[in-house]
Amino acid sequence: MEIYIDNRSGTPIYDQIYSQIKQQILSGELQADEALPSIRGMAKSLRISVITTKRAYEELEKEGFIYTVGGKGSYVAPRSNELVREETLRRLEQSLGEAVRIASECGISRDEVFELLGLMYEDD
Amino acid sequence: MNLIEADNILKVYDGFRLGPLSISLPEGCVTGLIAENGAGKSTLIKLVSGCIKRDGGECCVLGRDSAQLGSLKEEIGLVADDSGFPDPLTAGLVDRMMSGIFKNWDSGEFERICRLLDVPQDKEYAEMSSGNKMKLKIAAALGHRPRLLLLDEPMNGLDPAVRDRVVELLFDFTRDESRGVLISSHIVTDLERLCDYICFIKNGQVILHDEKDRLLERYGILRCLRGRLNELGGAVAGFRSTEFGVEALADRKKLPRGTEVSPVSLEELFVIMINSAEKEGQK
Amino acid sequence: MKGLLLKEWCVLKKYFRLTLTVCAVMLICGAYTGNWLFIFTAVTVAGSSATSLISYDERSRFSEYLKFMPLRARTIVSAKYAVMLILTLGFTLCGVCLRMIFMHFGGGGDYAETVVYGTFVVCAGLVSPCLTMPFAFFKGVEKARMIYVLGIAVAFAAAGAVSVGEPQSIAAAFPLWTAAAAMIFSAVITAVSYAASVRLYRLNRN
Repeated sequence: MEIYIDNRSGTPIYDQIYSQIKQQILSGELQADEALPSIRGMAKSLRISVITTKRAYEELEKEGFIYTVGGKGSYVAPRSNELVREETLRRLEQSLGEAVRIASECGISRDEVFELLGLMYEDD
Repeated sequence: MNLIEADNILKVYDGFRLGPLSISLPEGCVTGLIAENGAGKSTLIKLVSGCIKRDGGECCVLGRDSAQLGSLKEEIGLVADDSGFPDPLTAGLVDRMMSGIFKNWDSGEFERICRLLDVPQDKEYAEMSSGNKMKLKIAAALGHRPRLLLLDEPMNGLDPAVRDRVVELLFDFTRDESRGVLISSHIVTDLERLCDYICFIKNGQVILHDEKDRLLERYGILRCLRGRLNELGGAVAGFRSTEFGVEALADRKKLPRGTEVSPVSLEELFVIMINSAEKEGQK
Repeated sequence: MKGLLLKEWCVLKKYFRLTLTVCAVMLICGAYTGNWLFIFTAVTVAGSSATSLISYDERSRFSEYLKFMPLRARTIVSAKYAVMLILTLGFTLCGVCLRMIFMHFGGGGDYAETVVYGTFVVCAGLVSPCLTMPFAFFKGVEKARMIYVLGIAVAFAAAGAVSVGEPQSIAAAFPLWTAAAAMIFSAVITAVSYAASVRLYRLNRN
């Protein structure tokens, strides 16, 4: 499993780990019930704080992406369609939000945006 | 279990007072102490290791009172600047001496670390450079496989390549969850890489003790004009003046949305906080 | 204590080689001429090297290191006393044996008396270190230097007094029980000194 940490990016480190693991789970790179590296092992290999890795794992577990078996470690949760859909919707919302922001910055009206959207679907 | 549990410990010298301060080191963690010279780092480490007697408060190390560590010293490794080996000892003789002192002395481990850090094998201690002396002390501290490492400025005199290896050694040391490290250093960049918790000490008091990553997430550097500082009020934890304005240490959450803040390094954080604390004191 | 003794040996080898060699030469001369004052001097100086070892620990800052080793005060003090006793008794034994050898080749003499003188030398030779070491462990050797000098002076005065006006040799004959008395006295002052050293070292450590 490959994780890349950028110390100077301004994004919190736990967030970087969280996002990257989540991405790999959603894309299928990490299979269901696959074992994740131990918190301590990952922290030491990446040369980061154990507390931070723990936070990332806790966040992932909270969101339902991984589960922990006491004493054994953490594993990838089976891919739930709901989770995938939720994630996709989140990304869509983000992109659309960006589109709306660009439009309002340049004074493009809502109708013009809808027109563009319509054209895109037609192209498909 | 906390490897170190110090509660309101106090040490009073002529003209200097350390504490009352409280500090703890959880298992499996590395805590870094950052302070100016003379602020009390070494005194704190000596108090924790039981080398000097405390004047107040409680201090438990590995579950026992630090004044009565006795045989528990087998499990504590200490590196300090002001201690040394006898002049005629070479690394090999140190190995033999220590194996007659520590029950769990591991010659193989000691030799491995000496090789890793490039400790000259046949030079007498008196003939070694200060950097080599420090490397030998580090190897000796790790050679008896301790649970707790207390390091008082172990990076003194070491070049960047060796410091990197020492940091790596310490990372590997804490792979074992039952171990811990308390380290003080002036080279903040090393601590930034290594530590889980950071503690700033000024004039014998703890002015900050927090998770390192949280600190770096929470604060950022805001570059602006001096006038803006008054607007921001409580969001600013300290600042320093530059030719063109100020560099302020700001709490990201308390700033108005969309304010541009740069990431802060641990060193900048410390310097600005310490200098601001000084200015506060002067007011 | 094994580790500490190794260290003491290394330090002695490096810094006290000259002193101990001179003591050895004095010892041989004294044994050859029958001059017990020489033998006594050699023994006292050799035995006092142990006190200097304490000072050496301080100078090299190894005394700081000792504070966080899992060693009891007793062990640390014992190492120094062991060295002191080995040197004092060792040199005396060599002196007595050499004297007997020289006597044998010189036409014989009172061997029993030689042994008695040997015990006196042990006794007198222990006075200075036994007085000095507790102070050295407590306040450091610099402060103990006065006592060190005093101890040597007392021992030499006693030796001089015993030689009854003739500083070259001890002419008097002493009965055997005085030897036993001397050994008992030696054991007592060593034990008292040791106990004091341990107590004072512990006090100083904290």
